[in-house]
Amino acid sequence: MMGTRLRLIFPRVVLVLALSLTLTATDNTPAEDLVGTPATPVAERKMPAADLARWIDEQFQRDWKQQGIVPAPLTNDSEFVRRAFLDLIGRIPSVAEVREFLDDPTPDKRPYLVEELLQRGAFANHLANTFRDLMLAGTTAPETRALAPSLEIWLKLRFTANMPYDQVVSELLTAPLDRPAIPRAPTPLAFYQAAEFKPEQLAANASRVFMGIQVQCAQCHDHPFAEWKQPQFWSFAAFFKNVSPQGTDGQAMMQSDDIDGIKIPGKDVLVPALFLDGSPPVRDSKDNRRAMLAHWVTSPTNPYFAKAAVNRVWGSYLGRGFVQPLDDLDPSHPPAYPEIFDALCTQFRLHHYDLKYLIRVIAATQVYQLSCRGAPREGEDHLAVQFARMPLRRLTSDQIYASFIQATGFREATPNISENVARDEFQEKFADSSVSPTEIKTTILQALSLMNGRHVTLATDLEKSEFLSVIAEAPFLDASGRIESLFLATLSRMPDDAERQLFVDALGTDESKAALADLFWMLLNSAEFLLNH
Amino acid sequence: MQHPFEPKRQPMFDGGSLNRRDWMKLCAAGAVGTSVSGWFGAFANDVAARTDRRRSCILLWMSGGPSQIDTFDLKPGHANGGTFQEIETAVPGMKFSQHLPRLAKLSNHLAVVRSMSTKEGDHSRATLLAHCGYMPQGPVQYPTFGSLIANELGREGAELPNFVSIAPNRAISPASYDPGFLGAQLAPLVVGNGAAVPNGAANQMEASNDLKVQDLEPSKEIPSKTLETRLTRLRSMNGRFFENFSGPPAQSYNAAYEHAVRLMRSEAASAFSLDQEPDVVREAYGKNRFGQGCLLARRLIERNVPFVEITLGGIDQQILGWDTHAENFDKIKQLSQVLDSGWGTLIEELRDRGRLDDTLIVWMGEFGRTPKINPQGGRDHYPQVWSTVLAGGGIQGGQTIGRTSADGMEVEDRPVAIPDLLATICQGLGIDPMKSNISNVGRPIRLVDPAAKALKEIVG
Repeated sequence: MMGTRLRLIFPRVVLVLALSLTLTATDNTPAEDLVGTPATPVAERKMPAADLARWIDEQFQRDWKQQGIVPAPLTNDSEFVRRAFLDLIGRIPSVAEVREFLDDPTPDKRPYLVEELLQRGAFANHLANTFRDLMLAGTTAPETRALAPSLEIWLKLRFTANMPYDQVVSELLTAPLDRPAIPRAPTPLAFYQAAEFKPEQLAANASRVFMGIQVQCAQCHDHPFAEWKQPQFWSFAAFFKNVSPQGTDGQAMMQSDDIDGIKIPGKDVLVPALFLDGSPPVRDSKDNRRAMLAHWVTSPTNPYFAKAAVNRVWGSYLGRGFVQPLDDLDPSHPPAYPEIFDALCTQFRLHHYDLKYLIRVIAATQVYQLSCRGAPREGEDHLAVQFARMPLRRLTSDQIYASFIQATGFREATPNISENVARDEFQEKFADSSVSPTEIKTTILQALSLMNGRHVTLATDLEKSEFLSVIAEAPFLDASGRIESLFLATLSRMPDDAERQLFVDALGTDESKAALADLFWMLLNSAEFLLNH
Repeated sequence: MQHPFEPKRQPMFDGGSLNRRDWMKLCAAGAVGTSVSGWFGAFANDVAARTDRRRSCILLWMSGGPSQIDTFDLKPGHANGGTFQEIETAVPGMKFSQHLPRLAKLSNHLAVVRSMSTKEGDHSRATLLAHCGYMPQGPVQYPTFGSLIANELGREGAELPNFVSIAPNRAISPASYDPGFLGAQLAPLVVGNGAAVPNGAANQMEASNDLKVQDLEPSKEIPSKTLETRLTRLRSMNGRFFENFSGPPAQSYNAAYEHAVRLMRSEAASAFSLDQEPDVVREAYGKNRFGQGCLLARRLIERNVPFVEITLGGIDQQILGWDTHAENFDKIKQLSQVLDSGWGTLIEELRDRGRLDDTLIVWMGEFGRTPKINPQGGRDHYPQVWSTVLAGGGIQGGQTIGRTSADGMEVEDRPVAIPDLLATICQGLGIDPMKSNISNVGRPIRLVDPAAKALKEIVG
């Protein structure tokens, strides 16, 4: 609940400070550095989130003006509150949360809401889900899926502590690979399982996820790092040699002769372990192989590390990245708005890879607040390509599940700590391996499950749905109030006059309760509920 | 016909007077207890009206890359040959593996292409190339082959989706199941995507329940009149939303709901009720997911679904069963048994029901496997030399195309690339492979790469 209680703990002045200083636990910049911060990003100087957001908006506006583009209008408050909840904490707001936001008269309530959501536990949870999807890339293999909850928890612990992203990746790349002793014990093993512990697959996944580099493709064109051929690929894969959950897991110290790496399958060639830029690991290092790799991947001198993260996070909030496809930073797709992209990458690095800072900046921009309205029916939306309109996005499976729970008050009949049947069902039914949030498809089977499946059927059953009974029975609500509650619970907005009238008429008959169930069913099945707009 | 979910400008909540009649007709069809054979009458007029009955295509997708040397291109007497014996088939000189006896009897329907030669050795990229015929480049969203064919042969407003994919492993390459620039209307209906049912599952219920369309029937407690009211209002509500909001996710939602409602209303959906088949038939196909998938494919094309894909992913929950880096021979033996009964029965049934001439069956994976056997008794990825098989409609069966060297390492005659094979399939289906569609970037894109050459020996 975002309520007065919270405001007492978190007086507005503190929030304003947080917005302008964005100090983090890892931030040890002297205070005088922040005085008189320039309004444009200067290399190697930190910039408060609000200033950077303002600067980004100025760049976009200048460009749109030059091109004669009229951007979409800003979202209204109901659209914004729904979008912010979905993007920051992965679910729609409750009725009370919507009402509170709509009723708040203060002009700066949007950044205030963003800040409040950033402080919630659910923020780390949702970020963990987002990165889990990114790391597992929609894999459906049962062995990997069994380990996915452990990866979620492992990530959530780190995001809750706001651990710098480079450290998260380092820990992931060097984690011990013991099988979890109990189900759901935190471990990133799923990342390794998804690649079946194969060096070549791990190398491909690690470079795609953490650097936006598609090594498989380098066979047919120039690679960003170098002229890049099969031996180089295997040299990189050598860092994941002997990685397995049993016994030796590559943690062993690298012996000097061990650096001579790995055999290319099918050839009698031994290639040495080399990084993608061709540089060798430092031989006198005490580190094991994966630690050397982690050090190189997350090094500030590796520009692809920050770029990949910024492009992904920006893409998940804005529906498209500076570089498209989101996970392919190949020079053949140069970024749109390179100055903005660079500034974000630099500031992300200067803020010690603080994901919260990055998201705070993005969510504070006006670009993020533009409406989805008015996109063309056919063909490409040229405004969206220029970030001058927010594209529609389908909710992810996690967002659908959490929003469904929020809207219906669903509880699993027999809650069990180690398994959540409903969540698994939603994840399986709505899973999508698309890289981009605008490419998630709705399928026939998903439509059928929302229309006829057990969850919606239960939620819209007057006898069995507690939430619906409350709405139907509440003595303090009139017909209009009941309708309003259902709209707020599902679409986070008030019904308009036509909608109100239509359903008031429907409720007016003796069938009134049944009409309420019909309305609820319709709202849960609506495109408006299923899309982030 | 106006679809129930087509976003349309209309006065607010007029109940959709324009297409209300169509809508009511659709609803009426959904009444419970109509005769099961109803679909036959419904299509009779349609079939009579057309002199050129359209063809269908069934793709048997062997996920993981099946070993050519242990199926259709054995190398007896060579060290690379492995442990399997060759057997004679119905066609003199054509020989298959000993573990494909049913197919051997049907070899006069089969054209074996032994000289596939490609460059992609990565599961995901090779799967994509085989499915789309193009490698991704720039912003063009190439459709998967099933969508392309469904677009040519399908009918708009058909009760069943024009493209059904049975038990795919989509994660290996999501774009291989994507209609791309053709749009959401041509996305496949995916069934059997639930928890993996082991091929060879003794439990028949398990194997077929998995191939059902889940949640197809509304809850028994919802009167059909209530459902009508709900759907009508939902359509109005969405129609108003779509006046302000559009984009690919809206189109995809719309197509999915429209198809779903049509399927709920359709008696053709009984195609998925495999329990209508005699037990002896189900046994013949093999009581496993692939076998029952072949039976389902037969039932779907009988109801004029133009493209059905069935994936044989593996035994016992493997996802890339043909990816035999180790213990190649045990695995291929088991997979061959599943393949032989499923595919063999499919050809026989189509033949006996007079459908084989209209149905082109394609057997392929993403690449072949190394002739050299590795120390784990397995074979690794090998795109340089591999086999595919075409069967049935529009195909000159009973022949092999291309020749490989004695050690299986080289193609000696007639190398075939993916686009060549796809162009051959197009021609076999009576489709011009050089026909274009307008892509998402406004540029016309041919069904198959213009450099492709169809295999004349197969399609005349």
